[in-house]
Amino acid sequence: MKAATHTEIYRPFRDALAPSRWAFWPLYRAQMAIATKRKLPLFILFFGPAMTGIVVSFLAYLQFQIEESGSGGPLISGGGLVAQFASQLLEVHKLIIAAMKTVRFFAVLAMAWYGAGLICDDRRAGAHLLYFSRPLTRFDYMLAHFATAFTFGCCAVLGPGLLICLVATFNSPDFIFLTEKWPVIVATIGYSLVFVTALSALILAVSALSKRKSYALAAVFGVFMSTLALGGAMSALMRERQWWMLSLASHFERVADWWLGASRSFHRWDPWWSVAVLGGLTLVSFAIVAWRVRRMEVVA
Amino acid sequence: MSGALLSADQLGRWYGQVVGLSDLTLSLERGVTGLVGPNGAGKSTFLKLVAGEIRPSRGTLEVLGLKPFANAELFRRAGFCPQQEALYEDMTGLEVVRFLMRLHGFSAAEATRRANEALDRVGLGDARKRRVGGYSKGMRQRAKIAQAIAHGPELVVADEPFNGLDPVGRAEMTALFAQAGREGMSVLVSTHVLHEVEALTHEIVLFHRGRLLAQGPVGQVRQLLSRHPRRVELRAREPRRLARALVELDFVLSVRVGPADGRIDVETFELERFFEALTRIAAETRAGVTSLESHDASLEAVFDYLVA
Repeated sequence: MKAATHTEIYRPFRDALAPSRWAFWPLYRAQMAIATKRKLPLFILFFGPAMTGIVVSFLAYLQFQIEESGSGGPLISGGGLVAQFASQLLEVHKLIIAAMKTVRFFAVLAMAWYGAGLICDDRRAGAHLLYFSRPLTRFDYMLAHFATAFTFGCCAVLGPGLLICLVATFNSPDFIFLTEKWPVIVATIGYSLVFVTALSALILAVSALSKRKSYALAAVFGVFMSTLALGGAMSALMRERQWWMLSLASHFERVADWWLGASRSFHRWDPWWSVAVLGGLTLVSFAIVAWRVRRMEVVA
Repeated sequence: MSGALLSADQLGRWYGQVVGLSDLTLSLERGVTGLVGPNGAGKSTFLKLVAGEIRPSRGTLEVLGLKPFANAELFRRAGFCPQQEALYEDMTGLEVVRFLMRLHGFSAAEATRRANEALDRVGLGDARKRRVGGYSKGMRQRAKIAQAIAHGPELVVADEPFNGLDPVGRAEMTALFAQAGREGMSVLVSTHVLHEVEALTHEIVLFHRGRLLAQGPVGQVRQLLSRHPRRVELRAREPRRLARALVELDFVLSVRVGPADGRIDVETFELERFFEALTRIAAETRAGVTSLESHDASLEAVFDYLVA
């Protein structure tokens, strides 16, 4: 073997590095890698959405079996509770609405857990100093963090919704669910994206305003649960359902009912109000994030 | 490699009402430069301005001929080692450096290769697959230095890189920066450990309370401090005989004979003339000079004179 030393330090990079249009991608991947390293929180936080998706998909499967085989079919020949329950849920979109309402709290929990520390922990550790001394713009930085929260939100909300649609599609005769009921699929995706986008923006804004992840986590739940409690309390006190408009969760519910075609909605206000509230919340949240990220250089 | 590394003209940076850096005009050549000053002097602010992390409140700054703030071209040519912890604890050392190289635009394979090389150079080769959360303070410093040098920058900006390192680690990192300087990399290092700066370079920039206090080789800076006489410590077998002769010199300010060891402390404003005269007087008086030292040309003395 030929002897050699490797003591040189400075070997300047001579090639040209093309500026990447996807500069946020490595940061996003790193955030995802960190988040998924610990399996227990992942299992706990996504157990609820996963079970909801599986159970409701099974109900959708049962429903098609009932329709296909009639009341004497093998699946319901035993009669009983399952058959009764399944036959009550006549349409898949109702199942999806039920699933969306069930998973939203799990989704808030998962998104807040993984999103609440994104910006405040960076600022506390000074990690942004490493990023902003590299070809990563402030926008890329925000995008990477947004994409992280968004991904977990999609896993919690869009995942179960798509699973139900998938089961319905493959169990409907001649894929009639896909060909005839495709607006339900579009509405499921649309609602999920609205929910996840608005919530991701809110969580990032809270993270950007907080000093620690624990504070941000508490604040996200504070916003979500306190508005729900306030809306409920005011509605009960004033005997007027419009007070539910104070609740963030109710606005999501109203949009879900509207888009997924619920025949009766608990909330009676014009759904455009909810769209406006959620849109405004998202815009304000993004503005806060942009402002705080810009201020990172002040507190750097 | 020659040419200006950076030039600042009336550079200022405020944090609301707080002055971080005020009216800084200086030019630095390529090479290794030490930034010294007490806490709150403006060193970190200056380094963040150089690294393009923050924008100036007033004045202009050019680094490698480029305006640094949010300048992608500069970021490819410079590496920054911040004072803060900065590293994600759940990632391994290798993952951190590799992902930061990916942010530079290197391919996955190239990023991994560079990360491995850099970690080897800073002595973290064996710990590359351990979580950063399990690293000691010194290992974290090494990891931060690794990410700053891994992409082969022309300039490394290091803010207090020796903090948390044990003496061996400090010596190793000093040697690493010194070698990098010899090989053509420019290094801008801030520290409050003065003897480490002296071991690294004689080129210093001294800040105090957000202002530039001195700049240049330590020895030359000391010569400019004319209001402080130079102190020389002598030892002789016949100290009183030597002291009598020295006190006759008009450029000698004071002579003090110590109680023992034949020690004499001399203060003078003209060190070169004093040394010339001392050679002659020592021979004439036969006082038997055994040692001669001048401590106040050290960076520490210069620092004390300037800041006190």
